[in-house]
Amino acid sequence: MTRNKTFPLGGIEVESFRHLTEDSPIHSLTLPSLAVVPLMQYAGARARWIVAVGDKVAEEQVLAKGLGPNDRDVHSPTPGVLQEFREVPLPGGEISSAAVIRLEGEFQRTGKTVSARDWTSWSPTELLDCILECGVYLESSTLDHSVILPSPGKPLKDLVVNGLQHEPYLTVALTLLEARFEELAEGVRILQKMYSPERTHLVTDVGDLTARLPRWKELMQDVEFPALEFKFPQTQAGLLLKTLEIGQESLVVDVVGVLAIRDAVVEGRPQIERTIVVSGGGARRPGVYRARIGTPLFQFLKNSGGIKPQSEKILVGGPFRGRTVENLASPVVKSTQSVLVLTKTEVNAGSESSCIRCGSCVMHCPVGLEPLNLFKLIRQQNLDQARQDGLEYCIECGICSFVCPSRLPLVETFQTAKEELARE
Amino acid sequence: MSRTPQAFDSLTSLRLHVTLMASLAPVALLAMISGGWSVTFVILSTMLLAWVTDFLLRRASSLRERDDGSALLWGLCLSLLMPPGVPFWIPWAGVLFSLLAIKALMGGSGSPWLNPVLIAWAFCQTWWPSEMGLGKIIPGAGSAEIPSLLLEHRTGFDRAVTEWFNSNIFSWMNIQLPGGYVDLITGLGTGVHSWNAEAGAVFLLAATVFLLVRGTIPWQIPSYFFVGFALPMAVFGGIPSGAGLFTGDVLFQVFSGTFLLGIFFLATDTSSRPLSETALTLFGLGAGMLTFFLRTWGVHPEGVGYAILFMNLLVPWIDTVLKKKVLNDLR
Repeated sequence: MTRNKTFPLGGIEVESFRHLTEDSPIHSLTLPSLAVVPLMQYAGARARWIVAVGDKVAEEQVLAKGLGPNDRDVHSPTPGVLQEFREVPLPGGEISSAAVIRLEGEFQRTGKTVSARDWTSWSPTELLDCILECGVYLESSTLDHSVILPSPGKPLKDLVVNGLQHEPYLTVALTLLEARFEELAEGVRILQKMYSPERTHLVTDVGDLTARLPRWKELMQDVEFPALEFKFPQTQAGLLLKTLEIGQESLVVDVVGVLAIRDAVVEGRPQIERTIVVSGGGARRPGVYRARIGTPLFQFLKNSGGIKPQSEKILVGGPFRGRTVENLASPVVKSTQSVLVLTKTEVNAGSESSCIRCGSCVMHCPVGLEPLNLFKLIRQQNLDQARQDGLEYCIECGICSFVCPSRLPLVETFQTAKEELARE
Repeated sequence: MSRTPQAFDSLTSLRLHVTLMASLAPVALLAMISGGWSVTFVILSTMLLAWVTDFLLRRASSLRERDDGSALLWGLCLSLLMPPGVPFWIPWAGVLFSLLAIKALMGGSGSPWLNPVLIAWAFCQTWWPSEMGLGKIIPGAGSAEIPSLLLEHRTGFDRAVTEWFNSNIFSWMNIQLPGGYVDLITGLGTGVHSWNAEAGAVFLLAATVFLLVRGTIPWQIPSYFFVGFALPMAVFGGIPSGAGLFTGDVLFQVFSGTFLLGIFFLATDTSSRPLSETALTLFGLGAGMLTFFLRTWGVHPEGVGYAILFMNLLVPWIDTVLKKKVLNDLR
């Protein structure tokens, strides 16, 4: 058996907690009677409303237009009446304007069969326009922006379909890989048509994928299936390319994104729902759920089984790079990939004590930095030396803070210091 | 808004130090049993003094550090490095010197780049050489004196076990285990050991298996320390006593003195060991070889402590030379 591939330095093999949700079917949740649709669907998204209070909106109608060429449109998740605009906190904590839509009227799509469109005669540019119009958000490894699809025409060496899990607990990519693999294969063909890459890779961390899903081989004869170890932060774009030993002339799209692209192109369906994993020791019914964008988190959590009393915190994203949910009125947005409910023993929080120089942060840093020394330098206000020691190359994966036995706020300090350096 | 990460590894500094202390508990108990009240008092009072001093220092400091259990561990390690029957004020002086001069002046738990326990031990040995066992018993490497000392105090248990092993197992391999070694390894022989830490080597080893499996201490240091010491000892260890090449008594050397405490607990001290994996390897190898030289040709019977201290001096250099190359093309 060949060894699973992995990146050169550091990283951490933690328990994946996949067993909690990996056999879950995809449950569809009830539609929200009041959908709260934020303008900002992911960090950095810019758009402006094109509807007004009192308007009747149809399912999938465009509510807001993206401002720049890479900003996505926002569509209505349900038919109804625009009741009001309201400021809402996003799951990540930012505040955004949101349209509140009261459910009423006819569904255009839900419950109806749609005929597949023949896209094979479309030009690459037409395909890209269709994807952008449907507001497809593509998850990036840092989770802070959407992956930008380059305009077709430039030669692309490698197309990477990312079937890896970003972090422990997360299983959406894995579930979709098995549940919708024919659609996924179609999505891959769309991307291949758009960019005609020399090679296409479908990366997973579940060993030999073709042994698990033999039909993949028939469906995708020109695709390679590299197997990676489950080691955080392997999905970071730079590390992923290093692991696969491929260059910068490549495009990485995650499985969820490929499926959204397929739905947009084949069915003309804009992104108005999202597959979300609910997991963690505090979740009563861990599993994979499909919810409409705009479903408030309290409703989403209630419908997905609720939480146990011993829960310590609720977060969106994974335990390394996720954000604490401060307000359960926050709605599901396009970038919500998971809702984790963690207990005290899963969080292991503690208060800061002094550095014991154990070197754990150094051994696990995937960039090869010495976090303990950078931390000391920053606390001494010696930003210049910190910069020389490579502070700017920090990818903010958070491993150093995770392993630090003295609970030093390492990555937090680096984030602040990097912002300070960027301002200079 | 709370920032990354949202969860942490379960290991904390306090838990780390408590785990190490728990691993040393059987050895400390055996030392107390075989050494009686005086050893019991030395161990407990040294730990207490270390904790109280550290507490007062932390209170006085502007940093308001939390207790991470390191002072208690240092006190325990230091008392285990004492010979049985040492006057209690000697380890006390060592504790005060180490905490005041090394920890407080250099600024906190992780700051001393010299092993704080070994600094205290070297301090005691320099001031009170005779009380610290220098000149009393010198297990000169390869000398026949020590095994004869083992034989003098041999227990019935040792006789029975040695005989059983020799007739049932070692006879097949055509070797004979000399008398007294079972006492040495289990720490049962009274009056045999020259240092408290020598009691119960078997229990110490058992605890370290747990520590290594859990990754509490880095495996590189003890492994390469052993290699760096045992290889030259096996080959050249017999030379000083005139026995020639390949006659070194590795078994005796490893189980006697503070070797095991040294490679598993003192050399792995977080504040004074280097950072990266390769640096840990180099550090272990270097300390092992130095121990061999000091034990074989030095004036001190115990090479381990000074070998580690000398390697500590090189740690800043090792860390600089073996710094990892930063990957600057990830973004």
